[in-house]
Amino acid sequence: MFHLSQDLNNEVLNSEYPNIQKLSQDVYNQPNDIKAWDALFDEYDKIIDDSYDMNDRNSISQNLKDEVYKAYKSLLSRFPLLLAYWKKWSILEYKLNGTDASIDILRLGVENFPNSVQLWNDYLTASETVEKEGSREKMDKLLEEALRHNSYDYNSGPLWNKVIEFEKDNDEKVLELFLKVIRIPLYEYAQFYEKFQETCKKFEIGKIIPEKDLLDYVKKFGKSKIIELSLIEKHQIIDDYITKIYSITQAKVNSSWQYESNLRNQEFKIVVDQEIKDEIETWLNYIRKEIEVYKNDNSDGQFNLICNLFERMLIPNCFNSDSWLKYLKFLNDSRREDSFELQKEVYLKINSRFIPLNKQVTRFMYVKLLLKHDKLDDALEYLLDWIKLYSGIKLYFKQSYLESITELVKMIQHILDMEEFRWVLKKWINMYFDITPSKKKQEEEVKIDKIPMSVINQVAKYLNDDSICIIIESHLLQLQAQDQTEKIRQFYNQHHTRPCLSISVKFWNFMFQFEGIHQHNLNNLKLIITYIKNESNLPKLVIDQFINQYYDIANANLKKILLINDGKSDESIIKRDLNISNSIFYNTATQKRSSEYNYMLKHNNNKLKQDEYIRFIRKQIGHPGIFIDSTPDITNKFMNDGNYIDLTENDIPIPPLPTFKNVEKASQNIKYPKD
Amino acid sequence: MSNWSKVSIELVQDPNNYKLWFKLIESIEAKNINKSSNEEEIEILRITYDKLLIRYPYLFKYWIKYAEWEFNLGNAEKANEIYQKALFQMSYSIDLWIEFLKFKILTISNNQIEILKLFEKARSLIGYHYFSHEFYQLYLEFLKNYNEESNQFMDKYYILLRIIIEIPLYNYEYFFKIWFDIIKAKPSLISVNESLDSNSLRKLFIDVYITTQFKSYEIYQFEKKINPHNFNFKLISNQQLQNWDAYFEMLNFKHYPSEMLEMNYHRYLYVCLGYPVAWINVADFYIFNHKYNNSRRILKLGYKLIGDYKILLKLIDLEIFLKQYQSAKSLIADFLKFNQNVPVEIYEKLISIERLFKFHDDDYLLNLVDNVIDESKESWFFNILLNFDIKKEKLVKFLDDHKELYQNDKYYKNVTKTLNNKIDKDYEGYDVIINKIKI
Repeated sequence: MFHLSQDLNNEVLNSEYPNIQKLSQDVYNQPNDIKAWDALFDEYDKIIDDSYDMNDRNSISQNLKDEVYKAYKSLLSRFPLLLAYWKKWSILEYKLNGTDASIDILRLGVENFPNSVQLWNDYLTASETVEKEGSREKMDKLLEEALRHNSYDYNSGPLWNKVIEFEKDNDEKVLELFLKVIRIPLYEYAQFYEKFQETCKKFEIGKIIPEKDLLDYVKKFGKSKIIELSLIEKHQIIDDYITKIYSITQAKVNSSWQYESNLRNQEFKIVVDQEIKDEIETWLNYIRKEIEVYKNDNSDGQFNLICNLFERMLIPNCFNSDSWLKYLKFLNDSRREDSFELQKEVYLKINSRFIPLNKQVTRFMYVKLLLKHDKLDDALEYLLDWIKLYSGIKLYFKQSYLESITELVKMIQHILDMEEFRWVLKKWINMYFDITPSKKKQEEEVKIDKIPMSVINQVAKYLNDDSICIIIESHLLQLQAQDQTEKIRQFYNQHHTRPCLSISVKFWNFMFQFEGIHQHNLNNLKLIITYIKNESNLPKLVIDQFINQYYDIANANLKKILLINDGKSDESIIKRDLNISNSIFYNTATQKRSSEYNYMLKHNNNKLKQDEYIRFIRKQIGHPGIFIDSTPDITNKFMNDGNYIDLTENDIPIPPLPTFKNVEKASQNIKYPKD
Repeated sequence: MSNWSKVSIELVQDPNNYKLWFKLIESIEAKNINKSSNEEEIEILRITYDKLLIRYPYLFKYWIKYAEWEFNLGNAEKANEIYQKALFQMSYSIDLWIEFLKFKILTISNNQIEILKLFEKARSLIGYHYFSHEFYQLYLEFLKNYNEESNQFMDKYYILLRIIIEIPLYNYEYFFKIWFDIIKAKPSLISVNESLDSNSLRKLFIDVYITTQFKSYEIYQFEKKINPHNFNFKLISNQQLQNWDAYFEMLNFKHYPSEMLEMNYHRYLYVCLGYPVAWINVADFYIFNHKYNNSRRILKLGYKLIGDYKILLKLIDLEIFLKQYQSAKSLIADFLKFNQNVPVEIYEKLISIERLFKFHDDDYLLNLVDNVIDESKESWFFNILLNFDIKKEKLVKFLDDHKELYQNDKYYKNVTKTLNNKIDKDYEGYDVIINKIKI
């Protein structure tokens, strides 16, 4: 599993303590192994406890403090949803640097993990004690932020309590909070109802009940105006009103409970276990139920509730792009005005923080979203940024890189018209191979205004030997679609020996199908299969596929092959099995190819290289990897050709005495490879 | 009803059950047949063995038993014939050769030279067999025992011994012992150079010893990993098959004589005969060395013995290579005549050969493919149409004719797509993809 910035900037944490250094190395090697991290933190705890003096802040050196800070930061920027470690860190920081520092960690925590009720709770509690004399405004903002993310969390009761408690002197605010909270299905819903019932009587009835509902009550009581109601009547009305809300909320809570009670894994774990996977379905059923409600009432509250459910589901499943896409689909389908902004926010968050580098779908989806909203430049820029990142500034992520290039080519093909697209492909190939087109051709320059030239040039900069093959395949397919047979063959003649193409399955497959299946040009097909067999650097399995397909085509065209071979039968049919066999001796094409690409061989001449390769194999045959340089032999042995003696003949002379080579080396120690 | 008849009736119903065949032999042998048994019983014995050995020609133990029966019944001439037949089938079987030569020595008259020739024939075939020490012991003994001044057998004895010590054998030490004894006693028999005494000769031949020991050990690394026999037609592990391949690879790379490879390839067949790949490998060995007739012989035998169509395909390929188109065609025709289930590859081969005979006749080809699709119910054959150089209009029409039935078939779709030569330009936009997602 790759993690974005962390993997790109991953380095070993340095320490002056040898034990720590070793454990840091473990963590570096296995950054996803929480046990390795635990071991590291335990060791830090031990060192700190040894020299800790409660009364002396300086008992722990600044260096050590910095080290610990770095270690926690490193883990939590990799896995920001590890709740327990935020808490651990803040406690440790309190011990080392005091209250402010500890609160600062909690602040970092809620910024990185805003959907954690627990973390908010700790942060607010701590802040409250410090901010007592400080500004109310700051606290208000914090509380607001906490509620913005979590007010619909089934377990956010404590948070609500804290907010109500904090605002207790502000009647208006308290009333507003109560009116909201009693409608939300919370685990502690009854408690809020009771509290509200105690305090609600002191509020003006008109502030609790909307006018329309209130007038209904007035009618029921046989009055015509609100002021005609007596105090007792007013209390009766309020009681009735909030009891109704209570019973609606109670029903909601009950129906949520059947899901909530089955969701036992709501916390983030680095290793996603089967239980978490199994619970996805429960989450989804829960969400589906709420979406049904939303379809009827279309209320903001219900919308926020669903968003909150998704966010909660995506805590344990934060690496799962399929689940994120379901959330995004919900946002997209909601048809709210802020739908685009909401989706954008999610995409930006998950693409850079959660989705592993080898999963591209949400990144491409964001590009498509931008395109849909006519933000072509942004889309190109975003995709190019990823391509740049994958292309190997720090590390080369081949699969992701190639997927992104493919996506980019598809996108550009979609945006441009056919002729422009062809011109761009050609341009990239020329730029990559450093070919300057003739003057005449330069004049044919196509003007493109949909995409800035700078983008085209930038793409060319990030092409490499792997991706150019995608461009070339696209280019050739275009030529084929225009029946430009000659141009394809020209391209082949000009480029097929390039190293980047010798490993390209796409290129050879195109050429093979082109000559074999579209053109039925067996002369050319033969050249191609011979080149593939002897000179290419394709995997053997792929070459075997080509050989098998050539066998089929050759069989289908027996007569034609006879004609082009001057009446000779083609060996490739009868030697098919030998040509795909794993024997290096019988499979002479493999011999040629392997000698061509074996880095241990020194000769430049191909024939000599092949001889050298055979010697290389002979020295280790039967014991691969262990070279026995010389084996003893009798140079004039009877086994040699022409030395056979037929004993049926008479007067056979006494055979000559044996002569030897390498006998003295027979008892030499075997040289085992050093590494 | 006798036990023999019972088993033979069972066999009629289940002719491929080798256990029943063994039971059949047991049932006739249980009758204590001897010289005084009646002719009918002896005939049943012969028929039983003959039939068994036609079906399983590599059961060398049964060939030997059969020959021994005849010998014990007083028919030395018949026994001789059986050995000849056996060796025709299994000319590289060391056990057969040893039993045959023992039998020849047992029945020797004044035919020493004839037997010498047989020994030499055997040596040319199995002389490099890793376990041929018993053969060489027998040979040396024969030369020693039947030496006469006129036949120079004792001279041959020394030369043979000199030859043997260079061969990597399991029991190489045995022969060196004899050899070093001779050096000690009569150095003049070994070297024409009289200035060399026993000591210097001994030194020289210690180097032979070292060399042979080295090679013997080298081969042992491979011999120990293969089972030399497979009497009960047991399944052979893939590992075993690969061990044989590794053995051949070593022999090739280390330049061991081609006779040694050929002999080992036949040993391999005797063990792995149930596996088509073994027959094909041996055929390929001959093809590699341009010995096409040997290759054809092996493929024919393999096909006859185990009837696997993969061997047949290889045989047909070989016939086509050798331009025996007519015989390739009749091989296919015979297969189609006698088999209910026809593998796809056989049909493909049939279409290829028909195309060869009716080159340019696109209608004929399309008609044939149509029939094959009908008969085999395999839409795969749409796919192979692409390999043929058919006029495009005809192919398009053919595909149109089949559109109704096959338009959703993957091979049909593949062919039409390739023919149309269109580029996928479907770029899926955001809404298309998001709409496919289900919450």
